[in-house]
Amino acid sequence: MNQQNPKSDKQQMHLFIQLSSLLTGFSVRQLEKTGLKSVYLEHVAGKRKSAFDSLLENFEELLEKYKTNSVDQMKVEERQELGDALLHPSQPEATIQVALGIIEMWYLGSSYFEDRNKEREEEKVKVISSSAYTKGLAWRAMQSHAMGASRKHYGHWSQPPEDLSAFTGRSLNRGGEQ
Amino acid sequence: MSHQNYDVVIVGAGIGGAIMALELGKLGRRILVLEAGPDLGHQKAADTFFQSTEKTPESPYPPRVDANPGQEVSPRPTTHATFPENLSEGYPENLHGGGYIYDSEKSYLLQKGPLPFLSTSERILGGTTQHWLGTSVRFLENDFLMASRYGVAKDWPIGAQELAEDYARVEEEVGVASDAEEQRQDLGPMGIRYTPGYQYPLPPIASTLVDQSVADAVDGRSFDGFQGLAAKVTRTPAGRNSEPYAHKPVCIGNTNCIPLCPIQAKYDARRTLGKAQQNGVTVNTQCVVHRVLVGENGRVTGVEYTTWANDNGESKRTGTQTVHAHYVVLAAHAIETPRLLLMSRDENRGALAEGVANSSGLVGKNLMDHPIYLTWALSPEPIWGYRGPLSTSGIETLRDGPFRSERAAWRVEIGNEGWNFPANDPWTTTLDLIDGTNNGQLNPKGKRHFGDALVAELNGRLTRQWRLAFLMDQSPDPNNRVALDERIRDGLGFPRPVVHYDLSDYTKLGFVHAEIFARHVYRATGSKSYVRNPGTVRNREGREVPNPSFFSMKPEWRRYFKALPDELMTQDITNLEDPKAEGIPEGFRYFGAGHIMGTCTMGSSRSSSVVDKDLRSWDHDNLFIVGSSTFPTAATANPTMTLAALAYRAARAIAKDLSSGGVG
Repeated sequence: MNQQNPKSDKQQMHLFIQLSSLLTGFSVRQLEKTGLKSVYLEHVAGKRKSAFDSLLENFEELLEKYKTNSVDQMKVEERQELGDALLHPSQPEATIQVALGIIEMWYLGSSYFEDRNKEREEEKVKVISSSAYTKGLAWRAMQSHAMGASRKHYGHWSQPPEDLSAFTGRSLNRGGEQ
Repeated sequence: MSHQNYDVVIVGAGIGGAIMALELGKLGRRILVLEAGPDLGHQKAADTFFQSTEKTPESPYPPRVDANPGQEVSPRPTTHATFPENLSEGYPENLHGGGYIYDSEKSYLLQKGPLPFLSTSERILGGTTQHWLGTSVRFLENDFLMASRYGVAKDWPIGAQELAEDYARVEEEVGVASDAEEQRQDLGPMGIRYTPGYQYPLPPIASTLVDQSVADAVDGRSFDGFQGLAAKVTRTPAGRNSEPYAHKPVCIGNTNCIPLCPIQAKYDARRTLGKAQQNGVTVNTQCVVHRVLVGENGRVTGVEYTTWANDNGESKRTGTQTVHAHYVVLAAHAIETPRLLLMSRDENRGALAEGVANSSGLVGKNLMDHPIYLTWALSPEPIWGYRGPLSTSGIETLRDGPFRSERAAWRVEIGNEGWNFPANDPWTTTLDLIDGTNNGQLNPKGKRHFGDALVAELNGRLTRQWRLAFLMDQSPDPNNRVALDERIRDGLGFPRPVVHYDLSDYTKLGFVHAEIFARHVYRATGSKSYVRNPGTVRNREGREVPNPSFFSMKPEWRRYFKALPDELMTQDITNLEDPKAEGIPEGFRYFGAGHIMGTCTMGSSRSSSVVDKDLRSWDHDNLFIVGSSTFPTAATANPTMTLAALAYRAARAIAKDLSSGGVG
């Protein structure tokens, strides 16, 4: 949070979940259904406060250009453009690393925010919680469930899964939440 | 030191010990089971699993996979221990100067090489059935007859027909799901044997889309070089509920059989132990048996064990106890059973005798595994792995044939878990696409992805991943063995097991033909291969060193590849980038199957084996050894059904002795 212009908790959460939706490719609603947004916000803000604050501010500024406060309402190309700007090599490395760490947190339930490869090799970071693992988006991106966390019925594996859009809350062919 | 008396004391609470306990408990006898490890609650194991970044077979079970085995009361081998970063300092030069391949503070097994032994087991209530896959396949007739049929290895003192009824008893106890008619049809000609009219207790587990895609492409096809044997995808008999059984629920496809089934729809030996306890059997955990006691008449009189307890998170020795029994059964699996016999002393045989039950000198020798050749590929269309049980089908029809006089046979397991085994996916590919790295080979341009594109690219890769595992019938060799190192000890002060291990040319040639068969299957399914057999790995210091679990191709085997048609030599099928390789691999990497066998071999004479066909020690007629340690050969199927069938046989032998009053 910026000392001069402190954001309310509500504003900060709004920006965080919109940013997460942009970075992960999952709808806000799907992210909220995991029940993990508060845990994750606390986690990243607690680990890398200043880089995270500047990432959020940067995101807020860029988002204004599109005259919307909902990433879900944007077109696919617009989201790509916004994300490309946010992760552009000209951005400070620290904020890029935090952005990548946020994607990993949602996808795999673990996170590395600084020197990502080094931290991983040193096994510094652990899975945040059991549900961070079971609700990981990597599994949903392949139309499945975390290994060990099936909620399906016997034999479901003999048939193709539901469409990908049922897992992401988004159609890949056009913008907007389904 | 207190003294106790029992009719039978059983060392080890895995499936072998559990069946013995139940069968003998039904007779109303005084039976004691001693288990070295703890009774870990299911929920505790599940929580450890979910929160662990490393999801290897041992990760949910104690002690921690990164614990120092020199300080643990009940350490066991782990796959973690054989990661490249655990290589000993100075490897590989240090190895031949008396050192071990892996650091002894990381690896419980002291690996002498030349190749590492990669299989693991648990020391816990329920034994290694806690992390088994559930594969419940019977051996074939010729698996028991390798010497007489093919002039290699040894014959067993028992055959498929003789074991048919005991196999059926195991399948009932475990609750095996399969279709005997399908098994007979696909494997009858190969020598699978059932009693007339036999039916499995549960219907077979439903096939996955992965299985179906392979079956569509290969069923009925005879590939060149495989002696006219047609490939056929067969549903695998499994100790997994296709319907509710034994008060446990039906499988819901957690794709997590190893390391644990979260809903316990897969059999583990605690089920059988529970029934044994209802029959009056006493089961004590945290009791590490360290000595088998031998009386003056040469009969065993009981065992001595050390107890331990958890004190503020630290496991500590609490005392030593002796228990006397008319019969002793060792069922501590193929590392701990020979270790225990080698730690014990038979005073009647004088100072020269090495251990107990060892007049043959074969205790600890002929260590075997089903070394795995792993191949992996991308299917042309989504087949949605990572759904259903870890494996539901295999190709069983090439397990036997005249080729067995020349090279190891294999059974082919089809995996439903994408590239989880070969590449640790989905983690590796997900991180590659996020970070712009290419550790899993699926992000060759090194691009970073986010948002909608990340979903699309990840989906396009992960839903097409699949793999085949070839389980080799490793030939027995007395030089492959478990011994003791008196200088390096565990946390209770007992000497640690040393392992000498190698693969014979007979076994290695099985890998050559496995690679060729995989190429045929990938070609038939239109898949692109991503097999890698790295000859070097990066150690802890970041230095490239020889990969310990790799062996080189012999020049005379290159001809098998040179004879292949061009379509099996394209880069898509070989995944070899170096044009000089001409589509021929430089060598092969192998993995452990978790099938530890052979260290207390059974046979038909006291000079050539440790136990007879009833698993009775030739040297001590009231000592029995139960488990896959008694296997004379590795055979072409996972060992659990066969070792458990033999346990029924041993239980009958003891029951017969007890009823005829033959009690010492």
